[in-house]
Amino acid sequence: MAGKCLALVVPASLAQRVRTMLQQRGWFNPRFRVVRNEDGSASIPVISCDVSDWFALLKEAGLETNKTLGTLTWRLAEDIEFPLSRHTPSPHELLVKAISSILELHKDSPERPPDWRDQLPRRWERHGDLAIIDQQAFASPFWDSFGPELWTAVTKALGVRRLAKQGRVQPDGYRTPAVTLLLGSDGVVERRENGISYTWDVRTCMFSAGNAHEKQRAAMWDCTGETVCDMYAGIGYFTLPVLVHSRAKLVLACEWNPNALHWLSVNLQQNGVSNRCRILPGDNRKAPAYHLLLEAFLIICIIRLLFFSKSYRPLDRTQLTQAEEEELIREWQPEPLVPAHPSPPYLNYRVVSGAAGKFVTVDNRECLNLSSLNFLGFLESPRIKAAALSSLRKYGVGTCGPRGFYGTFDVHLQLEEKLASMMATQEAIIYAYGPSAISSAIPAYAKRGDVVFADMAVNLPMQQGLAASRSNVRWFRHNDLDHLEMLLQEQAADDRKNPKKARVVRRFVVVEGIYLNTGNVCPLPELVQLKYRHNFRIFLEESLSFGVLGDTGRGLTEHFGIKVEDVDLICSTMENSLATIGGFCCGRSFIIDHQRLSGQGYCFSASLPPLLTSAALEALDMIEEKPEMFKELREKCRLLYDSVQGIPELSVGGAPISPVLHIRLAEPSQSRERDIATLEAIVESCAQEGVAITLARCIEKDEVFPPSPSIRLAVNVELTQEEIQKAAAVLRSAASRHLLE
Amino acid sequence: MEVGTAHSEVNPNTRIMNSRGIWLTYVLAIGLLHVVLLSIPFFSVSLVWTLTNIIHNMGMYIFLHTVKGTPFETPDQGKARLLTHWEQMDYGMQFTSSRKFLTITPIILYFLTSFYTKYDSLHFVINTASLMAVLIPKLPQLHGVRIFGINKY
Repeated sequence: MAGKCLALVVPASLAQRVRTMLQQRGWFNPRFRVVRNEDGSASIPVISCDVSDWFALLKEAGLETNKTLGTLTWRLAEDIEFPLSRHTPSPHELLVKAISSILELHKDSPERPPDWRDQLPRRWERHGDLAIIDQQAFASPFWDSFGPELWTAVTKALGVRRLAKQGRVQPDGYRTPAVTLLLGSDGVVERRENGISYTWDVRTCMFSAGNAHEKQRAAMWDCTGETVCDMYAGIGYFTLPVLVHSRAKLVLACEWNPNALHWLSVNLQQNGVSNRCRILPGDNRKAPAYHLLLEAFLIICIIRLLFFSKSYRPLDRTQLTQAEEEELIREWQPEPLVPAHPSPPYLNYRVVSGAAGKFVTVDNRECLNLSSLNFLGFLESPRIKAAALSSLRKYGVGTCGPRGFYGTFDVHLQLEEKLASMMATQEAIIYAYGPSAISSAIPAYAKRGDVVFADMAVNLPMQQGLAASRSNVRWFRHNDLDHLEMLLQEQAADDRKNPKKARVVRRFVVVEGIYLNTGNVCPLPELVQLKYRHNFRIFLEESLSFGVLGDTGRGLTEHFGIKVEDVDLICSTMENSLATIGGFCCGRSFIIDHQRLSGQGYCFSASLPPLLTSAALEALDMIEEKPEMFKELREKCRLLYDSVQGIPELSVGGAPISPVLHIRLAEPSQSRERDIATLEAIVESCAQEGVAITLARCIEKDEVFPPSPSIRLAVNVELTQEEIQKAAAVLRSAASRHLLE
Repeated sequence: MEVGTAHSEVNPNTRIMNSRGIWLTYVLAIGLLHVVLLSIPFFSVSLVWTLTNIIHNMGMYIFLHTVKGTPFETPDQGKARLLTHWEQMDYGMQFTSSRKFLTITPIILYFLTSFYTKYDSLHFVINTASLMAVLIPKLPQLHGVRIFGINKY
C-alpha cells in the first residue's frame, strides 16, 4: 500500500501544475500518489535523475532555487513515504501477466526465446471488439505451438473478443491489408465516427483510424448543390462525410477493389445516402483487355477494308487458265449467216394482192378465203371503213406517244369503256398490238419465284409472256385438268413443306378460250371449280372465242354461263373478229389498273392509232346491233366441221363450235419436213381450184412444244353453205389425189 | 439516283447509296438521333450513346439486311425480290466504296459508344451484339446466304 521514493516538495497551490509538467517530461513516478503535507506543501513522487535538470523546469513553474517565498520554498527529499497510486494495470501489463502465466503452465516447452517480452504486441488497433496487433508481435515460431490458448489470453488482456494480426500491405494495386484473423469467425467490424457508421472487413479493406481528423475536415466543407468526385473511394472514408455532413448533391465514387465496392455500397445504405452516390466500379482510366482486343481486331478490319480490299463481283471469281481459254476458242464454231437449206420456204411464197376478205387474190387467182381469221367478215365492211376514215380526218394518224405520255385520245377511253360494259367487267385496257396484250399482261403479275400452270398448247404470244415473266412454268397436258390438278397437288405439298415460301409465291393458270393451235375449247367450268379448290388466278386468252362464242359474242364465259368475275383476267386480240388492230384486257379495276404502270406493251408502245380505235368501236356497235350473227357463225362452224369429216388419211382437230379447225395427217411420217411438204401440196391443189387455205405456220425454234403440221381452216360468217361445202369438197378431192396415189 | 433527275437504273436501289450527299445525310441523321436522345431528361450520357448505337444498328439491320425487294416499280421481273438492299447495292459488287462506308460507320459508332460508356461490361455486351448483327451479314462470304434459313423468303 505504500513505498519510498524520491520526492519533490513544492507549495500545494502549485503542485497540480508542476505534476503535469513532470508527467509531460516523464519524470513523474506513476506508481505513487501526490501527498499533501501539514505545512501547506505537497510532495510529488519523481524518478531520480540529474538534479541540474530540475532548475529549468521549476523556473518555468514560477519557483526559484533555494529561495524563500514567504514561508514556502521547494526542495528534494529522499525516501519519502508515498501511498501507492490508484493506478489500474495497463493492457500491456495485463498482457505480460497473462503470457507469463501461460509460460508458467508450459514450463517444459523448450527454447523459450530470452527476449519474449519484446515480442509481445506493443501497438494495436481496436475496432469494436476486434483488435489488430502489429506485425512484429509474436514473430518467433515459438508462439505457434500455443494456438487458441494464447490468443484467448491476449484478447482477455486487451479486452476484446476477436484478434487479428497486421501484415504487410500487398503491392497489388488494391492495397489489400493482408490481415490474418487469429481468433474469431469473421473480420467484419463497425466503427462509428463523427455521426457516421463505417462497416468493413478488416481482412480485405484498409481503414486507418489516424485519418479521423482529415475526415472531420472533409465533413466541414460546404458542398451544397455540388457534384463531388471521389477518385479512390475505398469503403467510403471521404465519400460518406461529404454526403452526410457536406450536403453534396451527388458523389461519383470511383473504386476498383471489389471488396471495397461491396462495403462502400453497404455503408451508403446504412447511412441512408445511397441515392446521392453513383459508384463507378472498375478501373475508370482504361478499357478491359477483351475490349482492347476487340477494338484492335476491328481497327485491323477497317484498315484491311480500306486499303487491301479490291471490289469484285461475287459470281465472277472463276479465272480461266490460258489453256482453258484456248480450248474454248478452239471449240467455238461460228454459225453460218444464211442457213443451208435445199429450197428455203422464204424463196417459195405465194403473193396475195388486195384485201383478204371473203375472197382473196392469191397469185392472181381469186379464191374463196378459208385462211384469214376474219370470223365476222368485218374485214371489208364499208361501215367500219367509213368510221376509220372519218376518224383519220378528225385525229390524223396517231401521236406516236404511249398512252401515259400524250398518247391518249377520247376514242381510247370510249373504247375501253365500251369493252368494259360489253364484257360486264369493271375496267378494260387496250393495247396497240394484239399479241402484246397477253404477252404484257402475264409478266405484269407473274414474277420471279411465282408459279404459272400453263396448257401445253397455248399460243406463241402467251409463251413469250410466260418466258418474260421469269416465273416457274409448270406445263399441263392440253385440256387435261386431271394433270393440272396433279400438278396443283404437288405444289400444295411443296407449300405445306415450306409455308414461309408459299406465302410469297403467287399461282396462276393460263389457258386459251379456243386454242389457236388445236381448235379445242377450254373446259372453263371445271377449271373454275379447281380454282376455288386450289386458290389460283385464271388468265384466259380469248382471241378466238371473243366475238365468236356466246349468244352476244362475249366469249367463253357467256358460252358456259360462267360469271365473268370468276375469271381474273380476260385478254383478247381485236385483230380477228373485230377486224382491226390491237388487243385488250378486261377484269376488275384492281387488276386492270395495275397494267397501266406495269404492262410493258401499254407503257412503252405508242398508243393505238385513233382510226383503228374508231374501227373497233364501230365493230362493237355492229355486234350489238346484230347479235344473231353469232348463231349463224356457229351453224357454219358446225357445217364446216361436219363437211370435212371422213376425209381419208386426214384427221380433223377442233371443236364443232370452233371457227378454226386443224386438218392433220392421220398417220404422220417421221419427218416433219415431209409432212409439211405433203400438206403444202394439198393447199396448193386447193388454191388451183379456187379455195385459199393455209398451213398453220409456226416459228418452230420459238415454240416450247411445236404443234404437229396442220392445215388451218377458218370460218367466215359470210361464207354460204354451198361455198363451205364446195371448199370441203375441193379439200377432199385434193387430199385424196395427193394421199391415196 | 439523284432526286429530280432522270436516270436509267432498272433498280434505283442499286445506286441509291452512291448519290451525292447521301453519306453526309446519313452521318447527320445519326448525329440528329443522338442529339434527340441527349435531350431526353434523366438519360445518362452512356445510356444515350448505347441507345444511339442500338437504334442505328437496328435500323441498319432492318433496312439493309431484313427487308427484301425494292420499293420502286422495276422492270426486272422481281429480280431483287429475294435480295436485301445490301445485296442489291452496286449490283452485288463487293468492297465498293459505299459498302466500305456502311461497314466502317457502325464500327466507328461502336468505338465512340464504348468510350462514352466507359467500357462498362453490360454496355459492352449489348453494343457488341448489335454491332455483330450488322457486321456479320455484310461479309462477302454471306452474300445471298441465309444461315439456318433465317429471312429466306
